[in-house]
Amino acid sequence: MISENGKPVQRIKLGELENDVEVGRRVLDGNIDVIRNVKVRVTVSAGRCELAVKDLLDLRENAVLTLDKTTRDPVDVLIDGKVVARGSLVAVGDHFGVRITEVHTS
Amino acid sequence: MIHRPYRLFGTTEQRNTIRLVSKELAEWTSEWMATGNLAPNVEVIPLTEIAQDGMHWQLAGAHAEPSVAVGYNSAWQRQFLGLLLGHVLETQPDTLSDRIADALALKVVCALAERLLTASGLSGAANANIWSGVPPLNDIGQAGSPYLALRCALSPETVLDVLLYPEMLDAWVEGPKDSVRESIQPVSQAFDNERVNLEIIIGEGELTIEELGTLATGDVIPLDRKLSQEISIRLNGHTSVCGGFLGGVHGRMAVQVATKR
Repeated sequence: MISENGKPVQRIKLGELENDVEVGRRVLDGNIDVIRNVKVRVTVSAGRCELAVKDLLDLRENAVLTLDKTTRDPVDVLIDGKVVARGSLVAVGDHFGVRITEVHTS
Repeated sequence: MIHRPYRLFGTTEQRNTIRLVSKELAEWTSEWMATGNLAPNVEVIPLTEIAQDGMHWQLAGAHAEPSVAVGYNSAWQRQFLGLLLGHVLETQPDTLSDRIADALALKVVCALAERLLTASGLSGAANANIWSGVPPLNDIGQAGSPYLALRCALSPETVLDVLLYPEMLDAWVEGPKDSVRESIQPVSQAFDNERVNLEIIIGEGELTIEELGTLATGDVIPLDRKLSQEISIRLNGHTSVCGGFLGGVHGRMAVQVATKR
């Protein structure tokens, strides 16, 4: 087959690759600078409560659900469902915010 | 007697009758054998198998004088005449005396007859008589025979066979209580009492990995939710169920359910 500019067009055959990671060097060599600015979403949870399915289906507006924490307990800061820190609930302007009180120190 | 095609296990009533008779046989035999150190073994044998086996029923047919044949004869006999027949064969008479064999057969048949009379809504005790001579077993083992045999091995040499006639098989007998099946309930109600977790999510914030890596006590993470906004009530932490407003109830954290989100 010939292309429009007259150059020959040939089919490319891909070579077989071998995954030999044992002898390869680390690409980033522990340097996390490249991911430094990657953004991660954190979720802040006030607590949980447990309900029977029938009670959930009967749930009405204005009903009050008591949670598994006291008002003095810190709230949880989660990433992908895992608690990574705890803090107290604060107002940041007209928004909610959380001031960190516990964080994994390692 | 009306002969009908053999319908083994054809109906619930037949199965119940067979179960009842098997149980009675096992119980009576077990009781009787308790003193003789013999292990009872009761099994249901379709007559077609007996015919293939040949030996036993050929013996019954060809044996000029079976040891004993028992029928019962009572005030109710006209309704049940010929329904029940106990037939003890002794291949080695020395191991079981005729007297004991007679007594056993009589006992079993009386018990079965009484149970069946009761199950059929009749009252009164059944009396059994020992019949001498060869019982009317001409068509037993033939194809299409209406009878069912329950065989009870009293010892390796001695076998008690109880024949169930079609009318007896068809007699209405209530099944055992443990066979009553629980009624099926609507699937929608089956999980009514299942427990689910609701998680109250105040809001979300966004941090870079660098900020997360240096996160320390005292840092403040601003969240996307305004103080005047509803917070999210999520099923198992994921599915949003509805909104709510955060508060407290007697010192406990609480949320008041608001509009559906």
